[in-house]
Amino acid sequence: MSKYSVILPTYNERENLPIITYLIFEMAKKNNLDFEIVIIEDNSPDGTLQVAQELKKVYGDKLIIHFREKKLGLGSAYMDGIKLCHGNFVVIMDADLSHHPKYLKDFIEKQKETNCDIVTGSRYINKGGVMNWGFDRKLTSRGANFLASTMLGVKCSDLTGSFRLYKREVLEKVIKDVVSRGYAFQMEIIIRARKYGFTVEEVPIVFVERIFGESKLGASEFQIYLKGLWKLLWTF
Amino acid sequence: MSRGTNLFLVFSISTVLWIITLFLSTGYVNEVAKSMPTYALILYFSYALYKVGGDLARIKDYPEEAESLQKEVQEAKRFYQQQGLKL
Repeated sequence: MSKYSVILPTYNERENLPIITYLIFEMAKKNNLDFEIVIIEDNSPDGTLQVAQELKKVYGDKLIIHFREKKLGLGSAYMDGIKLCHGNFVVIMDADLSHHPKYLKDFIEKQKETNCDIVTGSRYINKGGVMNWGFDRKLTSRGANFLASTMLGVKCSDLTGSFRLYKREVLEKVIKDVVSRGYAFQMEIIIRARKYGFTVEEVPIVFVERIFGESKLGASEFQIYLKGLWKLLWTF
Repeated sequence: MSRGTNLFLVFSISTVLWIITLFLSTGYVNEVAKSMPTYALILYFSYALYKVGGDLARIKDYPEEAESLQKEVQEAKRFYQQQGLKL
């Protein structure tokens, strides 16, 4: 039977963490799936670690907590997380409830149906969508995806998406070579995966803008995205 | 060869060919050659409008997803209260 490990990087997610944990394990129970969660906690000032430790009293060994002294970024969070995973499949997703765990069932079905190496959630295919986004945010996001896919010559409707299911060995192989940060990080993973000949399938998801906590996105994100895109142009 | 190098080469070769055509051609061909860069830009932006505009028109909002999530948040809170957790 397949085992699924979810890597959840957290920073100031004390309100969202209990909810996302509950939703993941409820989905797993309803669908008779073997799941564990690996929390990578970067010393949040809001007490997220203490919340995670409380949750461990309920979920026991199915919840693994890895504490880091400071914010070290997503890439290193995934690399640290993989070392602690026991599953043969790894899920990466956001902890702020914008990625709903109910779609994991669709991801798993798609993976079994196609035996693909990566399943990525897409907001921009049929039955996908968003909630609580203004028109300008939709335009920026879709425009950024379009720019990236035409400049990089990659066919993927949601290159910057971060809700994905990987075969464990695929993520292990791809992630150690990734050099980008921010949105470009997610794009680079897909590009590298395709270069290695790994197959990628898409599943529609609805992205709900976070309801608790503060977004870590800022105006500088677009600059970082453009710099990342420029770098990727000369990497591949 | 990187994608960037590839694009740069294609752009450079196209530019050189266009300049040569501009200087060596006459009449109707010359007129068409003059407007090629504008035409190429219009083509790209039209494609962008079709893809991005089309997706923006098609992407739906799902208010029911936000409502359902709010209910699940309450369900989760009740679960943890029953477990006696102080979160």
